[in-house]
Amino acid sequence: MRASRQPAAMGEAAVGLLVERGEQREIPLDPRTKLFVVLVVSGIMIAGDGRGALAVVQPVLAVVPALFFVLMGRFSVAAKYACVYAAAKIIPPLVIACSEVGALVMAAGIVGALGRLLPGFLMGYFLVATTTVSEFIAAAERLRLPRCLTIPLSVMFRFFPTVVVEYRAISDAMRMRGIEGLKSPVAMLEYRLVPLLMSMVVIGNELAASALCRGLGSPRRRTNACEIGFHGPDAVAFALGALCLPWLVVSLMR
Amino acid sequence: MEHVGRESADRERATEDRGTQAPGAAKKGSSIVKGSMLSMKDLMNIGIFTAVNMVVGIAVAVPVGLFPIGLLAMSAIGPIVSGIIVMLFITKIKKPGMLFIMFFINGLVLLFTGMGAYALLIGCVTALAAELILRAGRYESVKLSVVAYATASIAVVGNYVQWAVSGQDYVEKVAAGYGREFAQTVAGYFADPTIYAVLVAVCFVSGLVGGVLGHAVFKKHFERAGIV
Repeated sequence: MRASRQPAAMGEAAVGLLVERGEQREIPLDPRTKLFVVLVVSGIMIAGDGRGALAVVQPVLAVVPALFFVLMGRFSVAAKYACVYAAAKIIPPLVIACSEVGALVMAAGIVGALGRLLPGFLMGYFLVATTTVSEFIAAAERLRLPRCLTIPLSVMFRFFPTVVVEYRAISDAMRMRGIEGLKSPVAMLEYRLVPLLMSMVVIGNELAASALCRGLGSPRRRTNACEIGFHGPDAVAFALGALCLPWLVVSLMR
Repeated sequence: MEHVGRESADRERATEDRGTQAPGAAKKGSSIVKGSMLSMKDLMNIGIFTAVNMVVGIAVAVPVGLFPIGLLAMSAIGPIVSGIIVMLFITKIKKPGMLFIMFFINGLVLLFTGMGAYALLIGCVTALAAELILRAGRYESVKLSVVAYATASIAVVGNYVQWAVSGQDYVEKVAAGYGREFAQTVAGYFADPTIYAVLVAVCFVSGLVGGVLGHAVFKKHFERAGIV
């Protein structure tokens, strides 16, 4: 898996917002629909507390990420997710019920928390992996989002994997030099954060140059090669998402 | 020598802006700093620094925040670590709105990762205050940049507000996710409201430390390497 990730790959063909490997099937949904579904599902899954009606709603919605990954043709991800989620739901309550040991209960709590965050992260991953930058910007323009928000956002998503890849490479290099552990936190900061920022700035300059060459800063109205629009599947997704809205409000407010 | 470096950097930035801005944009820019509208390149830089700040923040917060005392300690550790990132960011862009956009996006992400709306609201307020402080220093004053960063750091407190405002309900919610022991321990910390005053002070002070550290690192590495 590691070998297939390209370090700081610039000038990639327009695949997902996240640089994605392998083939996957297209999802016949408008980016705006996907955004809506992702916000609703991950909002309820992550912010919700799992009490009252949410005790039923959350496990039902937990199926949604698996469903999308099946539609994408990534069956193994869907299967792994199903196993991990089930384990994170079933094991911690058993441990808490049977054991009084503090550390064990704490560990169970941590596993439970990871299980709660997992569906939301997978939804976010689904969104950025199946939406191209071009589609994202087209959708954002139709939503009348200001450029000062859409450009940082799309660059940010584009950069998450790059930051992680670069950080790993720097970590490896520092380990070879014997700079590791928490003996001296300041040295850790200096020897890891500084090279990371240096490479980010350089990569950022290259990315900006390439984007400007392709007319990002142009005063003319941007045209899109990709077509976005609402169709049948979008209506279904919106209807289902709208059904869940009350629980989203409950989750976020409480 | 330092002075010369900065001047040439300014010239470079000015030409860059002329190149990338929409023609109408220059008129709208205020008179405080020349070419003070955010250019496309600045917007992309905001995205990059927000991503780096967030990844580093998560890398620090996840192992530390899993323990009750660590959650509290984040208010001291967080601002120090991201000081290096944000100080470089401030020095690199120097335009109105940059901090606000960064913290707004950060708050949006926090909202949807279960930290509640307070993180976003407080983040917006502190970032606006920080913008005003930066503006007062005309985006050049190092001291005011450090103060602005420390002010923006107070946003970290937003992550704790839910413990008090939502009271028992929130404790139950966290108990469902992290286990009762964790929730009770943390709720114990926040039982006394003065803790918030302490936390604001801690964030501000560690923001100052982070800002000074960030500036020192900037002088030692980034300026010398010529990446600004």
